[in-house]
Amino acid sequence: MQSTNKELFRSSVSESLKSTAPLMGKSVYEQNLNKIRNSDVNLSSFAFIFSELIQRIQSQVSGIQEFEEKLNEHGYRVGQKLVELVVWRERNPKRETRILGILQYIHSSVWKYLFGKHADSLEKSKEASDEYMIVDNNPLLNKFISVPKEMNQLNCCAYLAGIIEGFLDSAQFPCKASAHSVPLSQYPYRTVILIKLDPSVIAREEVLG
Amino acid sequence: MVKPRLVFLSIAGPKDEQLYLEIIDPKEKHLLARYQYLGELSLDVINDLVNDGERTSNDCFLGLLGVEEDISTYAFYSNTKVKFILAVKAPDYVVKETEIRQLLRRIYTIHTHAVCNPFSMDLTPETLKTSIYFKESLHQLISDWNIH
Repeated sequence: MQSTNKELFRSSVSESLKSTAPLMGKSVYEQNLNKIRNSDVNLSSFAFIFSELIQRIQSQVSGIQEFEEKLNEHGYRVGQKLVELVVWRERNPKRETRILGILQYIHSSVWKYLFGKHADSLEKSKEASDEYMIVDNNPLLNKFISVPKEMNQLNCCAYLAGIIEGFLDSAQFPCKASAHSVPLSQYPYRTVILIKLDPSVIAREEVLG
Repeated sequence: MVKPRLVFLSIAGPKDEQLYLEIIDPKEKHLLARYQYLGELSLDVINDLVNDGERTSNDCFLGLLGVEEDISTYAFYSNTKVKFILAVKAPDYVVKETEIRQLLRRIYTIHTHAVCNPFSMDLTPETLKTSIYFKESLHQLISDWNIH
């Protein structure tokens, strides 16, 4: 399977490089940014692409931490672009400058854009003043994923944590985000996205009062 | 009318290789060879059905394949050429086909769920045997069937 994938990848790239015919359809960059109706991505298509991403990363890494770092990196690139896109599509766009405001925005609007529903809860850490948690009881990313026993510390929602991290970094809230499995009997796939904000963000928050 | 009793479930891959065999009643483990034979027999019937040029229906559910003594076999043929063979035993030989169809469709759904796992191997006999999700979901389906 791996060799087949690599061959397919090479051939498609070389074919597109060799081809001199103009593109028949519209490029992604020419599509209307405002097109919202009927633009949901099919869950099966996303599950397939995400599965291929995971298999590709798995063949490149040698540990769980590196695995999560790579997933986070891929998600980070998505999150960076998401700030402008989600805000632009809002009916009444607003520029968030406070920590709670941007996190509530992620909890509601960004989650709605990504998964069609709000996140299940947004919490502030009791021990550390710079840590916040977004909880999703049934993350869509893990719907078709069963992690084998030898790597049960891995949570593929590291990709989602990367999206959040990229989003917050682009919105001038530098932070580190990580995904943790905190299962309950009712929700075995319950995932907590832990967001640790940069000290500069906390300092700015104190100045703003 | 008594609900038919499930006997075994056999799953075969695109090349007719056996991927999974579940004998529902643990007391019938000693009949493994007979049930494997019935599975192979059913594969022949399935291949005849799907390769029949005059067949007009594109339904995934192939219906009743045949009756061997007191066991009836039904099949579900997926788009990826995976065959699901379900054997039932009905004391009065009356079986509601719609119920069998629904059960096979649910089995197909949990199979799809299991093979979509990026950490499982390609579709091999190991894939379904090692899938905890598939085992638990299948046992849940079986117990639900026995209750209602």
